[in-house]
Amino acid sequence: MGCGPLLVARWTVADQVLPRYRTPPPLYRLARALRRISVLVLVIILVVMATEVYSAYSTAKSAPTGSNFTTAFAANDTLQVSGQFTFTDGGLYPVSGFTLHVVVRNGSGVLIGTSTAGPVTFQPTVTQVFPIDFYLPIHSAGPATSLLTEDQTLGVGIWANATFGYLFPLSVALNDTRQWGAPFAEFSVGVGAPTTTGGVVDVPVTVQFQNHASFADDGTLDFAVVSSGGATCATGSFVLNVAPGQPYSQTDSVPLASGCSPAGGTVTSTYVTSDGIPISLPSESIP
Amino acid sequence: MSAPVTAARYGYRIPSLGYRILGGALRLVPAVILLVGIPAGILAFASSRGISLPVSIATVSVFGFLLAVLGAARYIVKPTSLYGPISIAASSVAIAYLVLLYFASPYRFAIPGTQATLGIGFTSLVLLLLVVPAIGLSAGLVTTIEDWKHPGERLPFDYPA
Repeated sequence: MGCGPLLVARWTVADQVLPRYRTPPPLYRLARALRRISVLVLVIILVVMATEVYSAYSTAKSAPTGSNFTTAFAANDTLQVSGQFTFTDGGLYPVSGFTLHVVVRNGSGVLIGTSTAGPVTFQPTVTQVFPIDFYLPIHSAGPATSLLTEDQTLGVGIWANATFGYLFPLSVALNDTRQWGAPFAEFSVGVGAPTTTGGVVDVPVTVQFQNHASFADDGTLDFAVVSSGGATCATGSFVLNVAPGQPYSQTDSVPLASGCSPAGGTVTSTYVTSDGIPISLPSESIP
Repeated sequence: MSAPVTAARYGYRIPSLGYRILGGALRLVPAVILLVGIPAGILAFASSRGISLPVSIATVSVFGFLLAVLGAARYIVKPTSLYGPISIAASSVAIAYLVLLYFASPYRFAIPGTQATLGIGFTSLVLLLLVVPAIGLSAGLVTTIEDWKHPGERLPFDYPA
């Protein structure tokens, strides 16, 4: 085929009387139809895109409002971090499959907890509350137990995924640090020398700590003086009502079981919240 | 057998080559603005604010300019048998461009001034957009076949008097 204009065609004299093409030929109609469909599809996509852009702008304007996060002890030796945010999707399309993943590492970079919330779909123009509950296991065997007694800088990784307007999967990743104030910072339990008064042998037990947490230590602190052989020599309890930022120091003398020597043993402590939730605190060795 | 006659006798008129070149050049201006100027401007704006780009400005400029030029060329060669092949070429370039964008998804970039990273996936949009040049390519193929089988058949309808 040449590249010059197709000005020459084979037409007969009859064609001049009765034009050959009253209607376009099939191939021409097919090509024309395809081109029109192509333009139509493009226009539809552009219109949808325009509404998506408008919707994204409207949604971005209606930023979520979050409540203050609260921290409290929860069952099964866990710290519960709770909060919520309220979001109104101001756009035309839903924000679907919203999922939030949180990873927390301690000051040494050791993973101490993960959490996932969602998926949730935010419908357009509807105000929805998205609750977030995050549990950090603080049992004595886990790395998060240091949260009880050590202030530290926590590494917090947050990943949020959602699909906007059916077409656009979005993800936000945020790595941040948070200062953690321990509820039993600098916790120590000291066992003094036994004293005998009226035939009864008592042992003084001193508990000291500072509440650097954002919540009060409210409840009781139960302790047990255990001999090196594992026998319980003495037990006692302190009533706690330590406001955030306050220090605590208390000594109590408890009767020592006869024949039981605390030397070389340990002191085990359990904090029982006012809700009755027991939290094991690190045990201390007795010189 | 009758002698070939000029197509102009059958009620259509093909614009002169000069006129078509002028028309193609005029079409080139908005096409370059839409396909090169605006996308490259947006990318340059993002780049100036420290946002990494999913595709380079050079890539966008080359593909955009190629599409604009092929669009103008289609207009110029429309009365010729090159119309179909140029249409196929234009659609092929558009498909290649979109495939390139497809593999640039998801696009992740750090939000300036924050420690946050935002990721946006646009594969669904690209797949939808791919429908357009795919149909255009089919149309170009049909036109090529038509020009090959029946030269000049479409001219009375493309250029009615």
